[in-house]
Amino acid sequence: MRPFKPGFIFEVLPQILPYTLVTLGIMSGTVLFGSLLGLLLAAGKLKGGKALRGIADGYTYFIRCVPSIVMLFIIYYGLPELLLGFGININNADKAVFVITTFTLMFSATMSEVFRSSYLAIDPGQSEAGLSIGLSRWQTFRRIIFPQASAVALPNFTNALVNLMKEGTLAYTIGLIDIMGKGQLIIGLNHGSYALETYIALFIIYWVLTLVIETFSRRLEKHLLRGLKVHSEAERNGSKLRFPVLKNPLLLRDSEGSLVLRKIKQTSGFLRMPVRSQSSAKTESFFSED
Amino acid sequence: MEIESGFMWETFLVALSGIPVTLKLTFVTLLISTPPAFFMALGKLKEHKISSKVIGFYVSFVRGTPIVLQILFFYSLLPTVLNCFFKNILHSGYNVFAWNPIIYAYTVFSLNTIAVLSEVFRSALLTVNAGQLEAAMSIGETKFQAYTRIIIPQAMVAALPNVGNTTVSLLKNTSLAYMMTVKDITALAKIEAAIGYNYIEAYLVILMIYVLLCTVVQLIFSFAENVLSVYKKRLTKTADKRTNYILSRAAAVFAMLRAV
Repeated sequence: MRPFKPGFIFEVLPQILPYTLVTLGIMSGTVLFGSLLGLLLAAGKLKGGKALRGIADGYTYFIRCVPSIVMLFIIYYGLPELLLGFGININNADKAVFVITTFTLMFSATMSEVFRSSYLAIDPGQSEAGLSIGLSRWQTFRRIIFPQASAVALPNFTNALVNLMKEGTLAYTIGLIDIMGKGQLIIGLNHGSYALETYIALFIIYWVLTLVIETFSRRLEKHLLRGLKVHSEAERNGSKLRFPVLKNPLLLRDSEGSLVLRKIKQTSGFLRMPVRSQSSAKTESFFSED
Repeated sequence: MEIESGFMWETFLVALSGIPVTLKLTFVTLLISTPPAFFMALGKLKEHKISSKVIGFYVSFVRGTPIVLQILFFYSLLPTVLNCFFKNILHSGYNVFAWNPIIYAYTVFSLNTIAVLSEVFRSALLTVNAGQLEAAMSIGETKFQAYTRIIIPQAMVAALPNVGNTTVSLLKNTSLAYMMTVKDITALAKIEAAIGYNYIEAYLVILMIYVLLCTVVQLIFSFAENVLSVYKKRLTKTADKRTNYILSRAAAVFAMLRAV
C-alpha cells in the first residue's frame, strides 16, 4: 500500500480553494431564489385560503421526503425535456442552472417553515401596538415586526444554509466543478491515488466554511437581540435596578455637576438619541445607581 | 417529453425489491447508533474537561462536513486499512474485499447518525427537570433506577419528534449508499434505467417510493408519540384543568396575602 502523505493535503488546498467561490455563488443564488419562493409559500400558509394553504403544505411535505440527489437528477434529466415541449432548448445551459433550480426547490420548502415559525413567534400585540401609535402597516413591519422576527429566524436560517452547503456537494454528480468537483477532478488526474489526502483537504474546507457561517450568524444574532439587552441586564441584577440603564441618557451632569437635559434631534417623527461622544464619557447616568 | 408507463411499472417492481435494503440500512443504523449517542449526550452534559471537548469536536466535525464526503472518505479508507490489518498484522489470507459493502454503509451512516442523535438526546435530557432526578434519589432509588424509570421515559417523549426527523433524513441519506455499491432502491432503479437510458422515469419511480416510505415512517412516529405522551394527557381533562386553575389562583392569592 502506498504510504499516506500528509504534505499532499497542503499541495492540494491552494488548487481547490479558488473553487470556493463557485460553491458560494451557487449558495447565494439558491438563497436568493429559494427565499423568494419560500416567502411566497409562507404567505400562502399564513394568509392563503384553504386551497393555497393545502398546496403550500403539500409542497413542503413532498420536498421533505425527497432525497436531494433524486431531485437533482430529475431536474437534470427532466427539465430540458420538459422545456423542449414548450420550445425552449436549455440542453447547452450551464450546469449551475440545474443545480440552482434543484436546490431552490429544496431550500424554499425549508425557508417557508422558517419564515412561518418566525412570523408566528411574534406576539400580535406588537403589531397592534405599532399601529395604535400611528405607524403605517409598512412602518410597523419594517420597524417592529421585522427586527424581532429576523432574530427568531436567524438560527434556523443558518441551519438551513449549512445544510444547503452540505447537500450542494452532490452537484459534482452532474459534473459541476465546485469544491467537491475540483477535488474529484484532482483525484481523477492522479489516477485515484492521493484520494485520502484530497478528501481530507475537502473536509477542512467544508468544516471551516461551516464554522465561519456559524460564527458569523452567532455574532449577527447577538447584534439583532441587542434590543433585549437592557431587560436581561436588569433581570440579572434583580432588585438593585429600578430603571433600565439607558445607553445614551437624556439627563447628564455637566462639568459643574448640575443636571442638564440633552438636546434631542427629531427626525422623521422618531426620537433619535444623540450619540455620546468619547470626550463626554465621564458623564454619569442619572438612572444608574453607583 | 414522453414517459413510458410500461417501463415505469417494471422499474417500480425492480425498485420495490430494494426497499428491504433501504429499510435495513435505516433501522440497523438507528439501532447501532442509539446507545453510543445516548452515552455521548450524557458525557456532554457532565461537562467533563476532556470528554465534553472531544465529543463536541466530533459532533461539530460530523455536522460540519457533507455526508457525501464522509462516504467517499471512509469507503476509500476502510477497506484498505482493514486489508492491511489482516495481511500485515494477522498474517492471514483473509479477503476483506469480499465483504458485503453494506457493512461500510452501516459504519458511515452510524458515525453520522451518532453525532446527530447525541444532540437530539442532549436537548431531550435537558427538558427533564433536575428536580426529577433529585426526587427519585430522595425516595431511595439508585441513580441507575432513577435514569431508567424516571428520566429516560420522559426524555424519550421529548426526543421522539426529533428522532423522527433524524430517521427521515437518514432514510433520505441512504439513497447515497449506491456510491458504496450497495443495491438499494436508488442503485437498482439506476441500473434498470441505464439499459434503455430512461433516467427520468426511473427517478420519478424512486421519488414516489421515497415519499411513500417517508409517509409510513412519519405515521409510525406520530403514532408512537401519541402512545408515549399518554401520561401528559391526564391533566388536560376539562375537570382537572379547572381544578388546577382554581388551585393555582388560590396559591397566588395566598402568596399575595403573605407578602402583605
